[in-house]
Amino acid sequence: MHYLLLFTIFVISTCGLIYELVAGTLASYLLGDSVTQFSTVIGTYLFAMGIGSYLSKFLRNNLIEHFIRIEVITGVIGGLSSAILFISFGYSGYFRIILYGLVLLTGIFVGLEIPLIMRILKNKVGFRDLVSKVFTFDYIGALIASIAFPIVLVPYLNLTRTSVLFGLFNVGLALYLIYYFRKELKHPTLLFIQASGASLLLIFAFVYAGRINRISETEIYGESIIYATNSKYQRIVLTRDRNAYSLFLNNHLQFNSRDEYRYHEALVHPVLSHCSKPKNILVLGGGDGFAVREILKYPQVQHITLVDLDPKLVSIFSKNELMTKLNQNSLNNPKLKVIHADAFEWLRNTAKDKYDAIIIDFPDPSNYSVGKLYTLSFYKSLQRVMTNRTLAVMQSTSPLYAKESFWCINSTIEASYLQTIPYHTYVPSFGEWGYILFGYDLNELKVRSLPKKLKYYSTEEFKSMKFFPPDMQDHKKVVNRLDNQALIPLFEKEWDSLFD
Amino acid sequence: MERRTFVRYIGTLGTVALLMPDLLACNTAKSKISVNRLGAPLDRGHLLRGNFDFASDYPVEKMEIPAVIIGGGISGLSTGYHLQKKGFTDFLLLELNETVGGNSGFGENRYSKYPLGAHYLSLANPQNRALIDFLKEQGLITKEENGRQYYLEDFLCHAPDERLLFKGVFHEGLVPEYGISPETHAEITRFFDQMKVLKEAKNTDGIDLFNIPISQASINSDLEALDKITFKDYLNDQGYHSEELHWFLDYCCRDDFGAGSDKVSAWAGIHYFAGRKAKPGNTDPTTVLTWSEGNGFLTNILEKSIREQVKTHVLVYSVEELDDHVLVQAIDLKAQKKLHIRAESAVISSPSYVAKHILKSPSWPQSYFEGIHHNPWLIGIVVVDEIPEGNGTPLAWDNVKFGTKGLGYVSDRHQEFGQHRDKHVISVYLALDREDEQTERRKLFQMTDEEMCDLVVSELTSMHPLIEQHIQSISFQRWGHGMVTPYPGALAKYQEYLRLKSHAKRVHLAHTDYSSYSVFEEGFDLGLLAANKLVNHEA
Ligand SMILES: Cc1cc2nc3c(=O)[nH]c(=O)nc-3n(C[C@H](O)[C@H](O)[C@H](O)COP(=O)(O)OP(=O)(O)OC[C@H]3O[C@@H](n4cnc5c(N)ncnc54)[C@H](O)[C@@H]3O)c2cc1C
Repeated sequence: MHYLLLFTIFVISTCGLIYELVAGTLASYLLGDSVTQFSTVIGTYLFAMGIGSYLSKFLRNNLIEHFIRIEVITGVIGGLSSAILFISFGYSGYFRIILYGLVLLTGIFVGLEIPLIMRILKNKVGFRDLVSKVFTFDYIGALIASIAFPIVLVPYLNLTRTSVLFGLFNVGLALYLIYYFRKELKHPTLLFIQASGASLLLIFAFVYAGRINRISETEIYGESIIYATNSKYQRIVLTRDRNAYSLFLNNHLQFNSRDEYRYHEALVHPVLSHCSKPKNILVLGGGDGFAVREILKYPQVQHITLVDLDPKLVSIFSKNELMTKLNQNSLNNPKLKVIHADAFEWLRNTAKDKYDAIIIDFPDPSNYSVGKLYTLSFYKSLQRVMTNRTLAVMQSTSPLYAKESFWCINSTIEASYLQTIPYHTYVPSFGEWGYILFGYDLNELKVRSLPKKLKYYSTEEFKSMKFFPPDMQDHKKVVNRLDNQALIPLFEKEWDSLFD
Repeated sequence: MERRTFVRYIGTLGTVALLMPDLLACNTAKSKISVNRLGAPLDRGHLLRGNFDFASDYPVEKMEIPAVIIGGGISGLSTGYHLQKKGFTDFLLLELNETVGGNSGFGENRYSKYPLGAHYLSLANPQNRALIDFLKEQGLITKEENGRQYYLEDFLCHAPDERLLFKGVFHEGLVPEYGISPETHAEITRFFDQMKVLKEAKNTDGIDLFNIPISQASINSDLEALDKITFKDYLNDQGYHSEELHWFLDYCCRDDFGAGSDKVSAWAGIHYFAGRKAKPGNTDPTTVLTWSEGNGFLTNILEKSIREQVKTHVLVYSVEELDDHVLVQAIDLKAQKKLHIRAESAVISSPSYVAKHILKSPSWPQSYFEGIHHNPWLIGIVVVDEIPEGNGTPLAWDNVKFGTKGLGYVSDRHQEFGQHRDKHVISVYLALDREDEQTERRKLFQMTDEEMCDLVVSELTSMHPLIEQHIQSISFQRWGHGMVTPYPGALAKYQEYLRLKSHAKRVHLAHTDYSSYSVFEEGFDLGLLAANKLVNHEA
């Protein structure tokens, strides 16, 4: 009896502390600002435990059964908390609510445990002795948990598996108690079935936890991965480095929240500020909503059509609260219509309207299938939705690191009988970056309107963007066509040589 | 009369392509792959087997019409297309199958269209005015400048067009040139230089020795001599010995003719290279036009122009040339009636082994139809979730492995414009040329689904060891007689055709069997020439 008591206390206190640590770590990992996250999580947790001890007095009769049931519930909630948080971070707009809800729930159940134990044992052990033993083992458990957590558990098991493992300890304890008290319990079989079901669930979660959270990827990105998933089309990874977020698609950096405004202002404003009546705007690619955010700064804009292949990506950027903060909730704006389609096929088969401005933000032409979006045939298809006055822009890789590629894109657009204005800017996390503005007639471009309070772009700045020093020039005039895809080998060669 | 055997032939051939799959499962070592056969369902074949008893009490419908075309492959369709272009619309085109197209037909599954045979059209030779004009009319050639044709980019084969698995790595292009000895390299260069010279070679009349279509070439005794030996013997005579070059040329012959360089005529082997002299303005001369449905795309264009005149599901069983008319007898399988058609003239656009049985004409003796060869083909249309990536060049349109007897596979969705493929649909081509054509044909029609499955899967696993687990289904298209295979003597056969043709009165032959080389260009040209004959005859 004595040892069982000590053992029970030890397990519940270790588990309780682990859940608290997992929640705190996860919150600071995903949201940043660890001091705030830890103190709010711990505060909530302690408060919840208080609620738990208060509630314990309402539990009467069959105390052992209640205790066993609480162990099972704590094991499942606490054990799955990390997995639930990781998944909800990507899919739901209520991450914080779910986080504190879980912390509260776990806290309440953990809070129920100790008072209940004390009441069970009250008649069996002297009170003084009881209190001192319970608290001694409670503190020992806490100490061991807090040491093991950073040194052994997280590095070797990762967060999700750690919490699942301790959930299993809770449930395991319940199973052991069912066995030990089998004679005194009213419904031993029912309890046994519940507890075994819970342990199966947790074992399953333990096995599949690797898919939910891949700490190993951290090594690739050198930052903490806060969200990673595979959509039908690509691998989407969000990372956080202090308070800056980055998005990687198939391991290519798409933006860093610290300087993306430079990239997106330079992408959108040259076209929109020169556009005489920017009412109906088309965005191809750009499912992150940043280009749309910039477009919405023009009150004249009435409709925006965004064509992006990947619903999952768009959903992250329209639901996740961190991301909607970054893109100012642009993807939920009523002026926006989102179409999930391949841009090239959509242009060829479905597109009907004409657009005043077109913003194209495709991934770099790093393989033959993305490469199709940079071919002569693509620009010809694009012309179906252009009028003589339409202005368009395309992100066009780096004219410094991949200058032949950049100028190949330029020559290809020119070969489709459009005029171009190539320009470039500096985006710290990308380096020197290039864009090509194009349209049927760019001879009399005038600035029509420009939103105030831009962080970076100005008409003055645009003048200097158009200047290309010799190390960014190339005169080969290679045209990229579907049947040669000349851009792909150029792009590969240039970017590869950068890393040699 | 061996009409019975002929009809049985057709029945079992699977030329009656009611694309009704009889689903089965093919159990290979590791996985379950669902398989089905394209082509004749059993009851249809049964109907046709043996005799026409089934049609004995069909009512007879008599008709009179200026011209009848028998067979709706490219040659027959081109005949019709050119007739209507010349304002001659009073004709019928009778096709046995449910749809026209013949070897240039196509099918479709949930993911993609796919060709049943012909996949691509090579770029037109500058002298092939009729084809260039046709392609211009269809917008496939957008302009001509300084004698160069500018092709619509969309349907040119997208990059990367070909890759060869050679020394463990996929290389771009099909010529094995990577890591070879300097001697081999020199041999390959010499071969292509020699072909370049032959491209320009002319007969005494100033006309090219090699040209596509063959009607625009001029034949001399040198070519006749080449037609007496095999291509392989020719290569050895010329001092080409490298394994790499021999493999490549053998592959080309199997790919284009259905039999290896040790079987086909040296004239044909050279013709393949020296006959092509396209001068495109905006792309590589060796590239091709291709579509998901292969040349089914061109079939559709041709058919559209003569939809009124085309009658499918009609089996022509007799064509008799009489003094003042041609009597065509046929069974309309759908309307269940017999047709007796009195025509001014007829164009036979069905293959030689059919013509031999149905045609009675003083101009075309039975003996002419002997000695025209057709090797059988098996095509597996495979749906796969994923094609495991190899080293080197990524998935191309045409994917081949060096050193094997297989022809590799073509990716049917390659020409799509979108980036993403939920499933791949690929066509595995197998030219069955190990033994003589009759034996191979018998073997093909006795093959069980498991055996066909094994052939197709092993061809794929030889290139991608881990592909089997990704295979979802395979549809088999069996061609008992593929395209004409130009064995030595093929050119002589063509010359015989020319001689007989010049005396033909009311019955003309327009099928690629008779040009000894089966490609779209030949069918298109034969159709044009037949249409000219008919129109002149009328006039
Ligand atoms: C596997 C394979 C791959 C090929 N690949 C290519 C390629 O990539 N590019 C290329 O240019 N060429 C290719 N070819 C060559 C192809 O044969 C020609 O391009 C062209 O399709 C031949 O057309 P045709 O009209 O001469 O013959 P067919 O296609 O043989 O047409 C004959 C038609 O006559 C019909 N018919 C037969 N008997 C009767 C009857 N008694 N009554 C009524 N109708 C009848 C048949 O059903 C058929 O539709 C390929 C051929 C094969 C077999």
